[in-house]
Amino acid sequence: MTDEEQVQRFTLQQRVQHVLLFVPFFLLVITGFPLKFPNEWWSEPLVNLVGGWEMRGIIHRVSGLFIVGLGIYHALWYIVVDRNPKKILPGRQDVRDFVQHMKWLVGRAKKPRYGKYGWVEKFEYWGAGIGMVIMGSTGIVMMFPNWAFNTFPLATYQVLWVVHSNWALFDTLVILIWHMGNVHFTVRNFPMDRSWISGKIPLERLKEEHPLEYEERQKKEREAHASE
Amino acid sequence: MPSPASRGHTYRVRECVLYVHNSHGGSDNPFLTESSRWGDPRLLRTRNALRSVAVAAFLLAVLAILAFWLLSPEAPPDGGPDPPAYQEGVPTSCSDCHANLPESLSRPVREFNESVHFTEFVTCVDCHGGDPTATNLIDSMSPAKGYLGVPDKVTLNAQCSKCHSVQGAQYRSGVHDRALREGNASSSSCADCHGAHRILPVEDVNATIHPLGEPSTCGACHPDAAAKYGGGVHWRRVQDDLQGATCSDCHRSHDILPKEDPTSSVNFANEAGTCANCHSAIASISGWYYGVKTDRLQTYQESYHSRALKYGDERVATCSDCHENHNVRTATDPESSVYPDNLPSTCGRCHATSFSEKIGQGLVHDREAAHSGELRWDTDDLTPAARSYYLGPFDLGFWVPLFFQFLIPSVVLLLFLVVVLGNVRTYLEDRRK
Repeated sequence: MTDEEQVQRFTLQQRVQHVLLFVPFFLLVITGFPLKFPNEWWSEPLVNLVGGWEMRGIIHRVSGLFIVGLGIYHALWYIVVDRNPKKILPGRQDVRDFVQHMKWLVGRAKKPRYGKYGWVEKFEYWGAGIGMVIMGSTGIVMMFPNWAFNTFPLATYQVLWVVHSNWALFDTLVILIWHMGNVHFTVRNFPMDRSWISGKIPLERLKEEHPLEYEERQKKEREAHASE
Repeated sequence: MPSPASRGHTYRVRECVLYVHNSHGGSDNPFLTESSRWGDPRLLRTRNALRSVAVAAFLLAVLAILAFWLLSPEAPPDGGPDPPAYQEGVPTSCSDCHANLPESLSRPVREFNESVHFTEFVTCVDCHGGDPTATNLIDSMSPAKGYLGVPDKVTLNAQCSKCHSVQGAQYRSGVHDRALREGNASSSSCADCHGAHRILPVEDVNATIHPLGEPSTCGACHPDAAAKYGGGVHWRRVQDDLQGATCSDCHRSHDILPKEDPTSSVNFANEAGTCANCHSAIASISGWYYGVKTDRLQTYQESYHSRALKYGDERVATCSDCHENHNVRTATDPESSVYPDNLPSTCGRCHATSFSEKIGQGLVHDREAAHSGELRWDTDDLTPAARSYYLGPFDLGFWVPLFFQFLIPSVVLLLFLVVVLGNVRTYLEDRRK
């Protein structure tokens, strides 16, 4: 394994952002779910674990605001610094890949040839983005109840709570199933894909899972050799 | 010489003497012997007469003594009025004297004779001590025989607990007994609520603890609470059909505790359960003649207030913080704290701000509300309450929860299938290599 040739997949900044996203995300989950499910057996231990009811609220609000800030930073960085949004924007090819992926699942087609980010990654990326907008906006409104009660009808506030708490459940299940099942707890990468720490991916796996990126890399290397 | 006439007289005398002589000399007749002792027959007659008189006098004396013994009354004690004789079936003789005493001493008897204790054969002695079988009042009310007089307020519950042990124990854990023991003589003992002598069962409409009487009984010491209660919907319901809550339904009857006590029924942590005793009782208050909604506890439990309360947040609102404690009124009553126009100030009490009317535009106990899901473009035919939480043509309170009810299971199941199948396919392809 160690002798394997590794290539860069994630920059240091991306890896740091990944950590800064999932740590507050799990804090949000364990501080938020006791409020949504107050009568479950695990809810009271969780509240005690994070330091009591007051601390639960503080951690939840700080974590939420932190993720909102991270999202804004990420979007600005992408737009202002990276200026290459195409590789993560969904396109027609992703629809075709999705259909072919479904066929592959039931053995009716070959696995789609993905680039650096396929529809699986884009679905998750934009899901997280939409989630941040929904959870952030509803959460910030509910952070200031007195202002909200004076600004919206009470019924609106109750709908906000339904949206926030249900989307939280949805998001958590998607992360547990989709992200873990596709990236970390997979038959190839059990118990995790080390790329999130090292930023590198074995060349063999790049060839298997991201063949288009692999070919592009080979092509570039050949061109580099040729120009030398 | 005597004349024949004189001879004849002599002869009569001689004859008589002869007769006497003869009888004296030759006869053993006891009568004759007796007469010979008295010497003269006339004396004998006198003696017989005297004997008859003596016998008669003796018999008369015996009769007189007998009559006197039979007919004479018992000796009166100390010269007081004569008490009637003891009668079986009358439980005590205390009332025999007290019934004839001045008002303050006879009223207890009259009151007691109307009480449930009288019909249940509880007697004066059971509470006051003493000995009603003694024949004089010194003995019957002797401290040596356990006479207590008027039982002490602090120890009265010990007398009552002899029979009512459960209630006595509950009372001793309550705030009234604690206050008495700490020297607050104005606190209540058993008799202050139940009455001393005219104790009636709770079903009796004249009982101090009957629903119709309880508010004034408690109100004797708690006039502010009783006055507020008198304006509320519970009292109106009691007056209608006795089914409304009275003091003891919320505060308990004997183990009454201050709201600061964590085990009190009106402590903020227990209040919802106390109200739910009636307000979740579908059988008793949801009928057509009441129409009281029985989901108030469940809908409260879905609120942030209840969720925070469960984790020990002491600041959040429980039932009485919004609905008032004694002055509970319906939401349709303009004087109610939960009337929509009054919600800005009611909610503002805790939220420490003056709210706008927006706070009233929604249902706090939101469940079966007007969430039918139908499209509604015009709000003209809506009730004012329904119009206040109209959020647009789409009934968001109906559709948003429904959306998530379908979104979460369906999408999560799909994703799960894709992930599992993808891993299976990858595993199979890797093995084939």
